[in-house]
Amino acid sequence: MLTDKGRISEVQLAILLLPTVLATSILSVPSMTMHYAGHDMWLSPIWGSFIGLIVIGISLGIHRLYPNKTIIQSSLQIIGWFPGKLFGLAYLIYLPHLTGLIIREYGEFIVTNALPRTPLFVVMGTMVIVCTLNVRLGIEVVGRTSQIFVTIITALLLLTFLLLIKELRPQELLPVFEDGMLPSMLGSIPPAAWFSEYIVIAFLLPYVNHKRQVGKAMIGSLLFTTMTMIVTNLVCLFLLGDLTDSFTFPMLIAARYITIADFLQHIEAVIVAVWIFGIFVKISVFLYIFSTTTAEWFGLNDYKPVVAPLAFLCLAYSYWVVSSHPDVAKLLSVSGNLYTLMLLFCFPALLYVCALVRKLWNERMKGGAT
Amino acid sequence: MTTCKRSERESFPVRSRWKTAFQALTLFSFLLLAGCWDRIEVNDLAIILATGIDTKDDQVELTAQIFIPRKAGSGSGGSGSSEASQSGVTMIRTAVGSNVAEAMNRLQRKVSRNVFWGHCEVIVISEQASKQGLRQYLDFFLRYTQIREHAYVFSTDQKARDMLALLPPLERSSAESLREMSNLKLGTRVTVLNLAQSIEGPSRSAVLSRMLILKPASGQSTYTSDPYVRGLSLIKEDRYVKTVTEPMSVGVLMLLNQLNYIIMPVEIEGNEGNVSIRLISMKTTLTPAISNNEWSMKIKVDAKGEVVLNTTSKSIADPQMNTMVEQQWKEKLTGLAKDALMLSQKQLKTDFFGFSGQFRRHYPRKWKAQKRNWDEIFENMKVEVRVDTLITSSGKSTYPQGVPGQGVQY
Repeated sequence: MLTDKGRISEVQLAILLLPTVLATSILSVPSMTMHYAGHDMWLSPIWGSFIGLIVIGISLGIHRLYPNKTIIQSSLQIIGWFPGKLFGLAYLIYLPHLTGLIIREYGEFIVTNALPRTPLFVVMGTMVIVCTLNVRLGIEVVGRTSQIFVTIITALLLLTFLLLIKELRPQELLPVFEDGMLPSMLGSIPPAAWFSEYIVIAFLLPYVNHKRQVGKAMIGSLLFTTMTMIVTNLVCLFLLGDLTDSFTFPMLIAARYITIADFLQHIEAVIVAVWIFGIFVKISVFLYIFSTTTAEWFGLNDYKPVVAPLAFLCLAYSYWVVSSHPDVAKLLSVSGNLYTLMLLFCFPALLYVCALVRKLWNERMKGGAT
Repeated sequence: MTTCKRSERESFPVRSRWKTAFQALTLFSFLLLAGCWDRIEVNDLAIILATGIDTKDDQVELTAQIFIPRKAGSGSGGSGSSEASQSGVTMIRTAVGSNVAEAMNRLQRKVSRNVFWGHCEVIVISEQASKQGLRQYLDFFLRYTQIREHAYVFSTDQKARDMLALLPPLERSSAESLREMSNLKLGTRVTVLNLAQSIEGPSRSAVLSRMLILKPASGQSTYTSDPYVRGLSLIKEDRYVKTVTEPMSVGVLMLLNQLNYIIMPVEIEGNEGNVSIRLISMKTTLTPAISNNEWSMKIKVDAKGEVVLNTTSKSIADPQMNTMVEQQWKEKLTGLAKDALMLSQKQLKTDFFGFSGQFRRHYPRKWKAQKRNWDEIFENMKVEVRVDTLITSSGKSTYPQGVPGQGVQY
């Protein structure tokens, strides 16, 4: 029934999820959380990670009840054929939005910070082509590439943090809870939207070969992403203080600030590299999910033929979703997060509730019959 | 195994044709992809090393110091123009505009190459310009993509333009001199980011090093000279308010915890001559306190020093003398700190030393409640200064040297 024959290990899935969640968040989350949370923004990812935990629980729960089926396939059995198809349709409409937005975010970042004179279309188009190739080769290749890239990303990020140590002022941490707990909770909405992207495991679990340890691996992955977000937020706070939310990409400013022994400077390209590696995995994962979802929804046997057209569709969406960079920021900081939370958190949660009710009902009926 | 191989072989011819075509296409595409259609090479760039800001009849006068690579490359060959010194590898261009962005745009029209700001490590703002507010400059420096946040900011009461026009005999450019001086920590070491933080922070003020142009040696051209540090420019809100020079600037630097390089003469009571102490390390800590709604600040200064000159008749090795020197030094430092506090609290009524930040950190609730009355609170705040001094070394000698007949005494 699955549209891809490939299988990945649970560790590969866990690693795959790191850039999927972190890639875009490293750059824009610090200033977005600070906007609401002020000084306590480093706490926000902790609150946000609870959403991630719930989402992982939902995905594993649905998969336990309906093993070896993606969420799109199991929805048909849980709430019936027609509502199930509607459920899938919601994702068919939503996923190009999300993927398009990610592609656009990537393009805008590269164009403003690295390649100012290259047309946006070329920047985004080349990335989409590479991702299309990656996705067409199957989940195994996506898993492998993410394994390699995550190593590089981690090393480069650590390097940036280490080189900045001299400039950091830990006293910026105080005062904690200047306005009570509420701001840090409010500030956790943007990270929560990112953490809700953990729902992709509901689409990918059937491809995992050792299902026993999946839970543990997922928790490890969640811890890693939370830690990275906290550290990123802290570094930005310690360096930029209250000014963090006045910059679009605080982490990039932080990398630009590095000056060691008068020659080790101008290394913002490192952050750009981290971003490209991460975004490559992220776009691949969402394009993969979009392709398999489409294939499953239309009842195809193989997802590969639809990858290229869908990739092109996502590229078109990246122009349709927003019209400028301030637009991206607006969408991400206001309505976008609720939209994402709705589809990546509320819908799967409702589906899980339905599945549980159905299971209880079935047991009750069986119990009544005997 | 065999069936597998056969199936592969069967599909091979059809696949391979496409594959070869694809491979050929990829290979040939490299010819096109290696393109130089919008290349900008180093010799198309005018690399800016320093930026200067002056004002001219309410308009902004922007000066850029541009690196001349040709001269730098030719090494010792000063055979070119006799006017420029061997080290002169920079030139300046100035443009005037109604704001800094417009001036920048006009600057490009005066330079034949593409102006590149990515290496601008130094920004000099004349006091004249900062009197009218630093806001527009800070916004520009933190917004325009090419400019680095790590660029050092200096103040000058002369024209920034003249400072950038200097061709220092020792360094490659006056930008380099300024940067090196900043690294020596002779004054305050403030980057664009620091400046923005301290102005936008609760203390709403900043302190910049004030640079002047050294008078060139006789016979040299007016531009063969260096900038040098003299005093500090104090900035309240975002405007320049006052210049302080020694000894006041020493007290200000001390309270900012930025005093590093100084040799201080200390008079010893009942003795002719004095003892000069070189500062080895100094640490200033601020501890805020609020009791019974009374805000107060405790300033603790730990200073360690080394004697470099003793013109009194007594030996530093003598414990009594040692404590006396420490005592006198302590009094001197306390006096400097008190003067600086007086200036900040009573005269200028500006929190240059970040007291407000400390209160915000330690008493967030009370700070929030009293934020509006801060100016009043600050003006009347009780400040306790405690200085601890320690003489760690008396240099190479113990007894005073050069006293006639001293060697015979013992």
